[in-house]
Amino acid sequence: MDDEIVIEKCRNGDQEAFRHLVERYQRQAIGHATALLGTREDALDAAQEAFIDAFRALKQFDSSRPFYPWFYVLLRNRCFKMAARKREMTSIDETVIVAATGARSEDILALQNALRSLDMEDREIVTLKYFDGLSYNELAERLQIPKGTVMSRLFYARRKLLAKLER
Amino acid sequence: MKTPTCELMLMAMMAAADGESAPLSTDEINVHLSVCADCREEAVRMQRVGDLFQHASRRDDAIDLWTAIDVRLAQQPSRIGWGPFAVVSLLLLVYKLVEMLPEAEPGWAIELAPLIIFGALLVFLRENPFKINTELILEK
Repeated sequence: MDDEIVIEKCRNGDQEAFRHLVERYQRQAIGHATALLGTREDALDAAQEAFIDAFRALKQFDSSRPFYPWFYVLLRNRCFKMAARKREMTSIDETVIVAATGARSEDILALQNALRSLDMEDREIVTLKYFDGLSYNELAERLQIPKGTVMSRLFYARRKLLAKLER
Repeated sequence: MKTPTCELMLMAMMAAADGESAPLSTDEINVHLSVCADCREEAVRMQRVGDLFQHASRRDDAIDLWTAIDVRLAQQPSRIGWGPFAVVSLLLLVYKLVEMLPEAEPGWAIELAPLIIFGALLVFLRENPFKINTELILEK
């Protein structure tokens, strides 16, 4: 079923239709939330809250646009709020990346540790770029910043990551 | 020796490598690279980041969120209509009319009526006006 049809049903009060959206995007949402928050438990909470926010805000959603980029804004708001409530938690403490076939485990470990030590915003832009392959325009939409800011933020985040990798 | 334009050059190189429109032309970048050893070196080092990510992917676990979300959505409070607010407005209007009657002397207790009406509305809405919402600090 198309997202557009599902969303229309949800707007007409069909709560069960929302299940399709949750099941379609939950893996992606949990992956993104884990990269931001660092713990699976917090990521599950944030993703759950974001889906509830989305259900409540569906009336404001422009259904001619794709659902996930809009949802991502709600998700990251939830993640940032959650991270601020837990100020002591500033880094990743769980494995959020896995090695592809042929990868050296020490490289993956180094990357994991380097990502762990980045701040949330840098980690977010770098992982969205490399894991999700988003273009600068898509990053600008997801992060709600101008394209020029995407370029500079990504540049400095990569530099920090590189510095951590070389340490 | 790095010049003030080095960062811009590196940013432009990064954008070009990402397949994006760069703020500088390829010729400008190449001319700069031919004379700036620092930028050449940094460009090579930066490539390592991309190479590492090529061999990694996001951890992807299958977890079902729907069960919990379904329960939460079912617990949503029903939307409050305009009814309670109309009642409160009517009560306040009656209070004001009573207060304005020239020969009426309702006594000091009537002065508390607006406070009581407002308090009753807050109780009905389950709102605590003294609650500090720490989450608002993070609204962007």
